[in-house]
Amino acid sequence: MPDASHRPPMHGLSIAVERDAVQRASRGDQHAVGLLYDAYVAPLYRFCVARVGNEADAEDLTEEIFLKVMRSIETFEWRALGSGEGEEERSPFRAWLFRIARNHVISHYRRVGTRGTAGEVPEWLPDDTPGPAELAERAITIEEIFVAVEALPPAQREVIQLRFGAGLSIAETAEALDKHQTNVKVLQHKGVKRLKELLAAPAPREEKSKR
Amino acid sequence: MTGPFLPEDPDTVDALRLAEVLERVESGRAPDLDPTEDPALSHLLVTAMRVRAEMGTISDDHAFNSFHTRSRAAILHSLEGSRRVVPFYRRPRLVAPFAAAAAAAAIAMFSLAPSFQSGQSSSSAGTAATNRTARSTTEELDRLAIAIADIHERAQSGQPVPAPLLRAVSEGTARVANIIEQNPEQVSKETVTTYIQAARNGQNVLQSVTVEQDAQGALAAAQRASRDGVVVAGRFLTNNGGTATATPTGTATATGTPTATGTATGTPTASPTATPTGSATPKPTEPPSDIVR
Repeated sequence: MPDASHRPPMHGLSIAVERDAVQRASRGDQHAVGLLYDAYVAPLYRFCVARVGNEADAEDLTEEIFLKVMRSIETFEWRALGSGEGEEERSPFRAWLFRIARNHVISHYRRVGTRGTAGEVPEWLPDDTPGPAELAERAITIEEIFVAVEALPPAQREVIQLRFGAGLSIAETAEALDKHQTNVKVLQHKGVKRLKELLAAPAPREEKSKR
Repeated sequence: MTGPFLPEDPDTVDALRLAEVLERVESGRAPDLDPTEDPALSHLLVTAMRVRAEMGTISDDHAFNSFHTRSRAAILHSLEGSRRVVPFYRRPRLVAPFAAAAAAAAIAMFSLAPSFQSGQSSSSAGTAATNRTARSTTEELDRLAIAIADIHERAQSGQPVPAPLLRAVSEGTARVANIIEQNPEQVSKETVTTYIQAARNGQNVLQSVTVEQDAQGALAAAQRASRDGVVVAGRFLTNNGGTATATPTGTATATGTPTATGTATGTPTASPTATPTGSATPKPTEPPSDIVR
């Protein structure tokens, strides 16, 4: 079983602190802006790297997205995300931020007219096909994961990037993508299932390059 | 008869189950799952957590930390600019020399980069978002001044300085020094004068800071970079007939059309060797007024 301590932090701020910071940031409080940036720069950057596949573009996108968010934060209205009984409250701000991030990255692709380099099949990709047992043993590199995620159908890919790259919860992912939570859970399941196959048994190069 | 939603489709049941187990693990609880009873779900959980852990490493290195520090300063600066105030210069805890140095950087920027002052509110996002490799010397100087002021503010309030902030100083200082050395024809005396002032401020600030644990190396590097920066700038000014180290005193204002009223009192004796002797002490009589950038 994987060690949960290795996971990236899910939540930088408590809901109460975040709500307060959002309110202060909307009034122009620079300390609050800094606080929100410190909390979101890592998940936002991871999301951007996962989407565009290179760090230079991801850095630019991260800055652009956060500035966009801060410039329109006055229009943001804090509405509690539906959480089940006994569940932790989810952040509507996080969902809103990543909805903007998603749209901004889509605009970026339209501008540059490419999907970036994440989908390219690297030279080092092995042609042999290790089984599930070997998968459990061997280290998976981030490059392999990029290639595998890029091979997913778009809806599954978006869910995986938001859930595992940005660290959003199911409720936040559903809000960011404007989907029903059950739909997100199904897409997540299909995506993980497909990733397991792709990471355990890399397809031949010719097959992958068709995607 | 109504009751809880019970999906019949096995795939949906599996999806809900995976989501439930993942949520438990993500919230730090043990997975409610027996691998021997449900090996398929267990494998999916392993895959999901490994993907998640690996993606987490994207923001786990020095390059990201450096980006975080640099972009934070740029974003705050950009937002401050668009709101037409510069709290950075107004903060009471900031003593005048650092505000004056930042003002000098601002003046240099206005005089050297006219495009920077036009359409600030709408174009500053693009300015902040430019790739670090393409940043101009004036932008580097501006970032450097902000980083030094940030360090000073932390020192004043007794906060330890984190390594990324120190690295921002050493990297920024070194980058400009490199430009001055490698491409002297691309920089003006005014720019170098602003730079030498920033490097000296860096030297002064870094002498008395408390740094976070494991940041001693970063501090030493920043001190070294500041020292080298003064030497490089001094050499440039000597070779190019430099006459002053631009110590802004008095008031510096930069509004729509920035103007600087000051008296350079420094005695430029920066030598081409590693020991510049003259050190002009900034003595501003009052903090600069609002500087709209």
